[in-house]
Amino acid sequence: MNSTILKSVLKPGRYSGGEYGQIVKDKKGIDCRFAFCFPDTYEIGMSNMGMRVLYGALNAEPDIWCERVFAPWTDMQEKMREHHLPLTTLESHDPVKDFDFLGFTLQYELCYTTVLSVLQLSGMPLRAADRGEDCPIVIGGGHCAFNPEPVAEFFDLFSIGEGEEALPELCRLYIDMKKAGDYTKEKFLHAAAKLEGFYVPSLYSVDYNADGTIASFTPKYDDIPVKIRKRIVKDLNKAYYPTKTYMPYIETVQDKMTLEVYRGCIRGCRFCQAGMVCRPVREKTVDKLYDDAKCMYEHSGYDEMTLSSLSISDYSHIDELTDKFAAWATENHISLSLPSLRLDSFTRELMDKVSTVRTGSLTFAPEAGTQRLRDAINKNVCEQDLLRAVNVAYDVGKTSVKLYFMNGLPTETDEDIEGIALLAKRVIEAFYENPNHNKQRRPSVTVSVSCFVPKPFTPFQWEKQNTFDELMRKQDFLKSKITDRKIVYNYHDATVSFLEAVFARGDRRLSGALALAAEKGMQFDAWSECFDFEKWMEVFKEAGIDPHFYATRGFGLDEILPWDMIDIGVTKEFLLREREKAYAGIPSTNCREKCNGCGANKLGGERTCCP
Amino acid sequence: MLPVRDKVPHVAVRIRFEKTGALQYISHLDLHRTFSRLLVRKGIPVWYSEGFTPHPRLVFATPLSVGAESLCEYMDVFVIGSAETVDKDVLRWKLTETDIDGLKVTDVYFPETKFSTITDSDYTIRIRTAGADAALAERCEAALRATPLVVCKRTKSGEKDVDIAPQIKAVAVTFDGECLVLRARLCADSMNFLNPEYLVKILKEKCAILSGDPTAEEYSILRTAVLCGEKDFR
Repeated sequence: MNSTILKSVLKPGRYSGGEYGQIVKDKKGIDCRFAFCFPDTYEIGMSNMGMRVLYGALNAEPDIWCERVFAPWTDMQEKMREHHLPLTTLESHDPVKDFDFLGFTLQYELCYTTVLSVLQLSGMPLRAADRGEDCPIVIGGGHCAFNPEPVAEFFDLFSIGEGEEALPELCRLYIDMKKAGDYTKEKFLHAAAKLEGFYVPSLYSVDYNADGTIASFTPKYDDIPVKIRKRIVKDLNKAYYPTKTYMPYIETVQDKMTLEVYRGCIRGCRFCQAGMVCRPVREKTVDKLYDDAKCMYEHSGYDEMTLSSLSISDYSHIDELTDKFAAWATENHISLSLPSLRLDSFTRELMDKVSTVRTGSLTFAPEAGTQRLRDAINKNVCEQDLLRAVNVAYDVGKTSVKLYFMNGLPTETDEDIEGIALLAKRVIEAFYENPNHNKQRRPSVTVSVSCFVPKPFTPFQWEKQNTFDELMRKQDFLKSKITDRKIVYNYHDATVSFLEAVFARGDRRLSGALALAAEKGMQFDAWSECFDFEKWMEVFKEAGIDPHFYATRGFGLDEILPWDMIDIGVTKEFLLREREKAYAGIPSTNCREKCNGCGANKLGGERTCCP
Repeated sequence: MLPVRDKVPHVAVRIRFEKTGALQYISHLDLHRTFSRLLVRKGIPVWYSEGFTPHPRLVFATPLSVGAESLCEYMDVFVIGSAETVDKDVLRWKLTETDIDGLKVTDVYFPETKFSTITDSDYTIRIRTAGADAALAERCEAALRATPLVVCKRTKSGEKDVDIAPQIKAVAVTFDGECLVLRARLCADSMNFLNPEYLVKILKEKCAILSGDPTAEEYSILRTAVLCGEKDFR
């Protein structure tokens, strides 16, 4: 990398590479070069666990070399354009365009324009149909790939579900076809479409009804599946896990050890996509986790570890795990954190074992303000749980609590919104009622309210999102109900949530709008300094797309949904049953108490609690 | 609050190291983190401060700006034990292979001096620029020897014109057939520290170097010595 340019941009450590733990291979022995891109800045991408897993899993193959790519910040992009420098990877600094594969992990909808920006900076046409044999095969994966349709035109294929076994298999197919002299991109994609967990959008055609809904979705060949079933790792104890991984030198968002404890979730909150698409629940053993933790520590020297999962207290052996880890962590000056703690499991014993206590405030997510709405969304916590949890915190001298809520949930009324203010008030009152409360400082409660975004593969996938006018009215209404100055109220930008909803539930026709946005230089939509809602509305207008069709329209229960060709294991029948229960205000049991028949068990695997 | 007496005996160990290559782009704070983790990985019995948030205490000698390399950086770290029980040769051996590209430990010893005794630093700045020749080297040297030598410095309280001539102890510019080679001795005590980037900045302004295609022109800054008066710091 040219040093004059590096010295002229912000944070050159984003581009210089050479980090401890990066993998550099001799190109001579390599048959497949994979550029793996997190379509956001270095600091965000280097914090991502999924990328670490896939980087390590691909590099575990001796003839495959996977390298990292991130979106350069706008100052670097200017320099690259000015001097005609192509986007390169961090390890070899070779141009991305010369690779065999370019993979994108799609973690949130607002990164789509940045994906296109990366393609532009690499010197590649945006649309898959316009890219020849000289371009790498562009593949997408990650949570957004469960509805890949809005970006379908830009990708050659998608990896659906967990990729640590699927991606090396795909590269193997590529290498074999190349070695047999039987390779063309077309032949390869057709063969890949027959592998489990791969979706090649160009091999399926979509027709639309006059009202804009989907009329049919048809494979172009008889030998490729009509429904693409997601991949899962059968046994997490045997699967690859990156205990030896790259470490950034410059400050990133999450720069610590992350240990994944289990996948899936027993809860089934009705708004939560991760809770559905990550099923079935598969756990690692305490011994495996402990061995991995020690290995990670010895390899890295980090002094912080996160035990990660969708809801850590639901791990079957949580007590054994935290006992063992707390002793080890104290001995080695490691601070442990459990970021996904449910408030009904927050106890004094657990708090003593982990160091989340060291940080000033504690965070809980009741999600809704009244019991009625919490039942409707299947959150399964009650006010007593919250008060008990905050009292644990007050007992040890804590004074500040953060509460997360959502606005715009299905069936929400103004009473539910007012309930948020009342609940926050109760939390303040509980402080003064607690005889052990901190006498030096006054309490504070931060109420953070996001906007509900209906997501594919949730019981609320058919729901309409509130219009942003309605969301803004609700935000103002809540503001008027919060009068106590000890309560700090934050809320999300409703226009951002609107755009998320458009791309979360969009179909292939949105590719046109995205391409247009990219031409106008739009990118980094997840960054408030780059997000421009007015400009987005102009783009939709110019592209002839009504964004409300995707966000604020209730989808018909019998409608063909853009993501219907994906099979996540959980059935549509189950989602419909859960939706009905939501409207009836009936919560469901968690998977450990009683199976609700979601269907994910048909995917197999070493499951923890499903039949 | 009264100072709390630390319970665990510990002793300062000085590490001399090189910081080159990609590592030149990481800041002082980044290096602090990187070094702490390296010491843990290498099994060095680092002493942790005994306050509310225990952490290793690392102290670096002089600042090195992002984008500058160095052959002579110094850092003190506290290790559990005493000068009698800690074997510096074992530490040196453990740190020989640092496993970090661009970071090379060149010495480990018990310090006998304070960082505050540092007065100057020597630098070699190599400049690959269009039109480089002996005549340009001469013009550059003359430009840097001018008095006063006023540059615009960015400080916490805004931009300020400062005469840096007193902070330049010695300077010479030669042409090695390919690049301009600037050698300078600059003030490095904490009150008068001069960032070598200012010399490049002056030459850009006054001698129009590095004004062409940045993909063909470049410069590198290398700190070659840290001094205490006329002698090498130790």
